[in-house]
Amino acid sequence: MMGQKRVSRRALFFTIDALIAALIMIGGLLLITSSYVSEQPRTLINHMSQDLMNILGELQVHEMNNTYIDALVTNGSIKDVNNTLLVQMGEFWADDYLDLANEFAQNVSEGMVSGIFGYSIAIDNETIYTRINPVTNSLVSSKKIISGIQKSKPIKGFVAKARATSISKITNQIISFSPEGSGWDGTDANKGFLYITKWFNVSSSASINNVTFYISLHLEDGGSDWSVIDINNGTCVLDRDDLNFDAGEEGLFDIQDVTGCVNSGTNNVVLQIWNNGYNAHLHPGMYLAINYNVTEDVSYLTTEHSNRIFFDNIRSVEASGDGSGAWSMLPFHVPDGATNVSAVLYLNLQEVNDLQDRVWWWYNDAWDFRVYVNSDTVFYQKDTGDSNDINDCLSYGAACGADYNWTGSFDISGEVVTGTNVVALYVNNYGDTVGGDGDTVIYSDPFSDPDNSSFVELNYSLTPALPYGVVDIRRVQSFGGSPDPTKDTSFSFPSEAEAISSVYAHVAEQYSYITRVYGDTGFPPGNMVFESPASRAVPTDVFIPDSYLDVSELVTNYIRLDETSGNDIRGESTVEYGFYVPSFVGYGSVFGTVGEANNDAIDRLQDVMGSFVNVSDLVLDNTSMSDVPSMWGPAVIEVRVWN
Amino acid sequence: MELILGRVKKSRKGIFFTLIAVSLLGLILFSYSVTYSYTLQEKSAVIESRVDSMNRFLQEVDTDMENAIYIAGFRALIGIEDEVANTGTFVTSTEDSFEELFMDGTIDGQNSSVMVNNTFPYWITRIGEEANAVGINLSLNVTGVNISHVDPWTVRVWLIGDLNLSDLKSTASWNQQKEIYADISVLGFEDPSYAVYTSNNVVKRINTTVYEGNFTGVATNTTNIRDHVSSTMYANFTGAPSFLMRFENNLTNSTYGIESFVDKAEVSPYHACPTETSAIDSIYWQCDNGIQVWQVANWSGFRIDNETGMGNLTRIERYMLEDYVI
Repeated sequence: MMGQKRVSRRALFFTIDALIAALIMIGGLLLITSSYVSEQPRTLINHMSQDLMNILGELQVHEMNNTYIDALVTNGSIKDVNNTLLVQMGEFWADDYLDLANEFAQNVSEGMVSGIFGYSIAIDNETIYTRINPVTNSLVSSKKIISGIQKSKPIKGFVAKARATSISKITNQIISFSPEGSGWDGTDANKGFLYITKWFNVSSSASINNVTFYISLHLEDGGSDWSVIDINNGTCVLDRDDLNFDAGEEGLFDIQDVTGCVNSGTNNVVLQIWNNGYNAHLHPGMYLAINYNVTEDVSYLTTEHSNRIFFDNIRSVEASGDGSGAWSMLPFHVPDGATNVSAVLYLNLQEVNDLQDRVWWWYNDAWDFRVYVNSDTVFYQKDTGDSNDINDCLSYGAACGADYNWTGSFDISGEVVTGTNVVALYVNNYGDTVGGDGDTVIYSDPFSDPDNSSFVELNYSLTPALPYGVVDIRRVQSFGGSPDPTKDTSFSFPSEAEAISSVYAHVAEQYSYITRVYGDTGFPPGNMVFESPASRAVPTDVFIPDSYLDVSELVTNYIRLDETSGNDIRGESTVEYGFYVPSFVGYGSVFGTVGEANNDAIDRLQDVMGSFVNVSDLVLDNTSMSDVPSMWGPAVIEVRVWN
Repeated sequence: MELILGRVKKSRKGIFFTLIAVSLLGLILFSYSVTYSYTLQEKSAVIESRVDSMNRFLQEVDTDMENAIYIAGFRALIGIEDEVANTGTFVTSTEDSFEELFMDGTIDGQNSSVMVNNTFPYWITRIGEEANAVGINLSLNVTGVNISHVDPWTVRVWLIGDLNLSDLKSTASWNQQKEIYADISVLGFEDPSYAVYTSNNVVKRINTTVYEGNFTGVATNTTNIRDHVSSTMYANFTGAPSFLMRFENNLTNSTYGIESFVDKAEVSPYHACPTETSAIDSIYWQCDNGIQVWQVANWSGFRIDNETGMGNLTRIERYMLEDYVI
């Protein structure tokens, strides 16, 4: 029994002992774990860092009552008092004014944080300001992201655009002579001359580099010499024997350098041609090509267009009773997209004979002059009781009738087509027949007497290709190669070309019949842009509508000339393509200063004008826009507070 | 009996031991639960801290989004201005063009140089990178952008979008629909009407008149209004189009209308109208000479109409010219 009690007490003892041990262990465990989690509360500095960030991010510069900041505003260091303190700090930092940023940060933040704490302000990990207290316990960080700020980038910048008001350029001008005649017969001693006078203007500020005369004439190649071409009243004279005829050919094609003969301002060329046994006349492809430098004001494309296209003054003089007559082919052009097109033909014909057709012993009235518009059907003829035997005058003096002058106009709007239009006018002669007595004159003097001249007045509306000032550059490219009934050439506009101004094919033929012109961006060009409306009605200028061309430098434009009769088209035929170079550039990149923005605008303007414009002669004005923000960054602003 | 008592005594001891064992087990369980409870607290503190950080990031995104809207919006306005000047044609819809520039950096499908790296999606990308750097996924689906006037001199750009913010470890996420705006002053922007109607030869920027309420006076006569005209200052008038309407060549009246007087000598080489046309820009651009005009003594060429706006206020009253028109 006693033994059992002892055992039970021992068990109790061990149990209590185990219990005490367990309590000690658990207590120890709890003590250890509680001491492990014991930590100083960091709520205070956590709030401090956030509060400091919030204050700096909310307070604006003008809200600070601070003499230091007032001084910065006064001296211009602070440009926008509506900036928050953080943004202002960021602005100094972005502008690389680190000392200023440091002083500013110190000035605005020192009073906000108790001296027992350390803190720092950093932007994109670059410390702006720090209060150097040692980190003894906790460190708390608050961050803020601000877009629009980046190191060494302007926070608010400038953009600028520029336009040229005056430029210097090198360009070409074509003065074309379309087929017209005629100088009838006579004798070598008494030539039946035709006098053609063309007036033209070259920019008064032009400095002419070279002038080439492409001469395409049908005239007498034998007999005595005479002066054929007189440029500017004797400045340059080309006699028949100066011209280079192909052997046995009356159809002349020659090229003469007439640089020095043509001036800036008003010029004139007088042609004096004659042919024994036939009429003398101009063939397609006669023109002056003038290359010059010019300084001029930038031009502006308008919506309303009103142009007068003048005839040359043509005077045919009867010689040796052989009769006189004058004819002319006047091309004019209507661009794609033109609306409200109207055209009126004004004629001033002088010394027209009231021609008579002799029928047995009496006379019928014969027509005196004819007008064709884009057709081989007569548009108008004087008189209506017509007869084609207009050459009876040569045989029967009475058939010449009386001379009279005729002035009047015709509305030809209904006949006008987009592209090339041709008015053909025959006075006292047609084809191989001539009926005029004495002189016959198609009168025109576009500079001195424009209103009384013969011309087509063309009006139309056209939306400007470009909405700002432009520089029109014109280039001339020869078809080249040997004569052939079909000639092809191709060209691309340069990269600087912003829009097409106009493109012409200048057809050079010694003998023409029906000529067709094609333009396209593919080869062979499939778009026929012109076909002679009547036999031999081939103008020197054929307009290629823009719609068949592409201004891109990457696209090749093809032009084909095709003479259906099998006659040759000469390699001297040219394509003249004009394009607009912009004189304006819009906004570019954003810069830190107005000067940089303006210089950038000028550089860009010079770039778009390319090599065609002499940039040293540019006159520029420009306008800039300030306070343009940029999506820099975002910058990360960090405030750290510690104790 | 004794045997029975002995068994009873033994069983009492067993109960005692059992109680002790249960107590010990209870103590162990208690200590474990205390420790476990602490672990949960610590975890929740971490989560709380994380959620707090994300919440603060969200607030920062909100604040910076306003900034981004302002920057992209300001540049988009320049972009429209540039397009109108470069093409010489007005836009069909200012709002559509603005949104295209703001979001895509293009106008009519063509890139705008001023919008390169300055579109709103560019900002989303950049801010998304910042978010990723701190372990946050950010996506913002813009569902609407619009621009309208809040007053004649200020436009407000509204952005509506669904913002999704989530922790990379899926600790927490936010899905919010955001409607945030930024106000942009139109002062300093170019008046597109002048650009188009003068082929970019005359550039005028919006600037508020300094003679408000003081256009004429006994002491100054018409000196101030003359300077207002010659300096091409703008005044608000509800009988005129707003700044935004001018991009569309919509020259009708607006609550937020602003207007200038054109200098006829300056603009007529590029846009000529009959002499008897009011110099008020929106009327002059239309060459609307059917509206009766008045002259001011000793002011050659100046013409002003007397259309109404701002309630019954007429233009002559607006510019205080009642005593000067003839």
